[in-house]
Amino acid sequence: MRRAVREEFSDVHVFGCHFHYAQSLVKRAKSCGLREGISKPGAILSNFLAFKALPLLPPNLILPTFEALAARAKKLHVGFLPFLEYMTSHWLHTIGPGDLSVFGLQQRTNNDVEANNGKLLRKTGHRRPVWSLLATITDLAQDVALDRMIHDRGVENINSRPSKPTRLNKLRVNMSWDLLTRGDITAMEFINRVKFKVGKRNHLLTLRKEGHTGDPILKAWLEEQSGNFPDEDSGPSGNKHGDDSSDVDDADVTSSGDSSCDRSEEDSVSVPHGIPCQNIPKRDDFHLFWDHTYARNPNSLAPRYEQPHDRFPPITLDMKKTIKDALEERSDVIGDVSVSKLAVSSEDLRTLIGLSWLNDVIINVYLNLIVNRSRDNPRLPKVYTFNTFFLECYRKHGYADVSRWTRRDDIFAHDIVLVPVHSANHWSMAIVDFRRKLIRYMDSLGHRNDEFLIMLRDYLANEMLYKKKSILNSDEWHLKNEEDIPLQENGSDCGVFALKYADYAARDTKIDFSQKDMSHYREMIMYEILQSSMMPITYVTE
Amino acid sequence: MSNPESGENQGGPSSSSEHKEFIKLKVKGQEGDEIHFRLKMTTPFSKIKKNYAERVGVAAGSIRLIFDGNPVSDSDTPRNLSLEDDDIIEAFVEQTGGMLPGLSAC
Repeated sequence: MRRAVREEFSDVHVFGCHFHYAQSLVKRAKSCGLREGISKPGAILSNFLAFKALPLLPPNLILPTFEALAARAKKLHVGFLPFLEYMTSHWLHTIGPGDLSVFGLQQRTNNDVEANNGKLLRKTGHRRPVWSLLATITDLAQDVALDRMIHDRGVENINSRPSKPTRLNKLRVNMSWDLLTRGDITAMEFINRVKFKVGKRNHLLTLRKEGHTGDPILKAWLEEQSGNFPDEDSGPSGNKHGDDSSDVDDADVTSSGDSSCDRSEEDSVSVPHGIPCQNIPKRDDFHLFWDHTYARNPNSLAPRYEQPHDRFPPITLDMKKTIKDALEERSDVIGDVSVSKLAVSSEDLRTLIGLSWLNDVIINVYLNLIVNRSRDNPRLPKVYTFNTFFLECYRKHGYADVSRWTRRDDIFAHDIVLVPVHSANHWSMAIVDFRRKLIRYMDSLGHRNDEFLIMLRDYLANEMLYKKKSILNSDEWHLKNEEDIPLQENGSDCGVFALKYADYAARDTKIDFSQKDMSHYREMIMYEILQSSMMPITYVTE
Repeated sequence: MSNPESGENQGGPSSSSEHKEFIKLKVKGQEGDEIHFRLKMTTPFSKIKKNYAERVGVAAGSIRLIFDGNPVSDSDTPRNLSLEDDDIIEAFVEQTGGMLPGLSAC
């Protein structure tokens, strides 16, 4: 059939379909006694996946690579012997590397062709008069022309937007092609890079098997890896190929996708002949399973930033006047004490002027306003705050003295607990996140403070023990000195930084301020305290 | 159970304290000092603060009183806070911060 097409249409290129290639490989492997081996992680699956990735290579590299893979696979399992025979006789000799290869193609499957066939079938129905069939085909031809155009512009999928794993897989293949073309990696390295796929089903299956589903260390590790391996996003993508492939001629095409494959072990693992592989994937392989679902997992350690916002509500002239008036009068109580729960005097407010050092009243009242804002806005996480004396008291006198501080409150019923830290004339902020079991220390001088972090974790353990009568598993908790945060560039703004760290954390917003914003924040904080309420968050519409 | 709360008994007597006129309180500083006060249920805490500040030699404005983690304001009284005999008020000194010492102050 391919020959016929070529003879008839001289300017047409015939390409394989990676999906159908993979599908037939799976079928064949199962009939060769590899069914068990390829249905779970292990060396067999890994080798099998390598064969599946072969068409991604340029034609001239397919044969040598196949031979290298074959030599290794033969030793692994008897089932590979008939399998390799089939590969050689059908795919390499009958089809040939030239037609097998999908190297450099954006469309590596015949999905869209099938889609058009399907469309045609649906539109014509059965027993339509030939005229209506012709009209339908004309319509369809226009669709195809449009599809073609979209293709040529490099848009990936004509019918639907591919899922994120699909896009990641694609990206990974494309990047690996670049590397291969530049000679940065060998054909074998290329195969190892692209044979794994990311995807929900794939990694979840593996994680469940390994019993790692709830392992926070693994999750943390995955997060880390996701940063280190920008190109680690994985292998060939089978788009949305269903099981309907009956209308496609088996002969031409090759194919991508994966049917039953999940993931597998690195190839170096040798497994005794004929014994199903039981190897557990090495931890280092898990980055291959990184997937965006982790980023969305509330337990994930990566900060979740969900609330786009308008960073700078401007300070109007009216607001400036309100502030000026308040600073000029002498008052012991400004703002609404019943709301802010703390009397602020004009003297306290003045600590926000210029480069003055903020005092405890300002810190405490502002944290109270943050808590109020969260209480009144269901979109925000539930926030609790300790006051600035909490850590001092706890550090000096231990848990017994602060056990009554939460007499009326259940800190565990909140998402986030703000803990202001005052130490040696310096403000910083610790943030407990119950959703992620994470305590972060944020210091605008860039200092670490392991002591506070551990103290806080111990406090949580005590609180859990005495108030909830249960044990807090310290191993599950992560302590983190935040390093990648904006720092103060003078000797006076640490209080403002600390408040803003808390403000941003309390609304799950990614930090986007820096030193230059501090004088604006000082004014804004004054105004917010005078109003006894935070400025509403202006959400950026997406 | 070594629940530190169990030492304090907070049930019951709130009703009796309604009728009591005087109350004994402790004000405890962070350096281990502890001063006992006997005062009327209706005395505002501004007086306690002033008295305590004098005794420890600090300006009253820089004293912060905290009861069970909550700030005690000048206008609060033992009655409106439902305090009982031997309750402990913690005293702190104003905190202020810009940076670590050793670096030039602003």
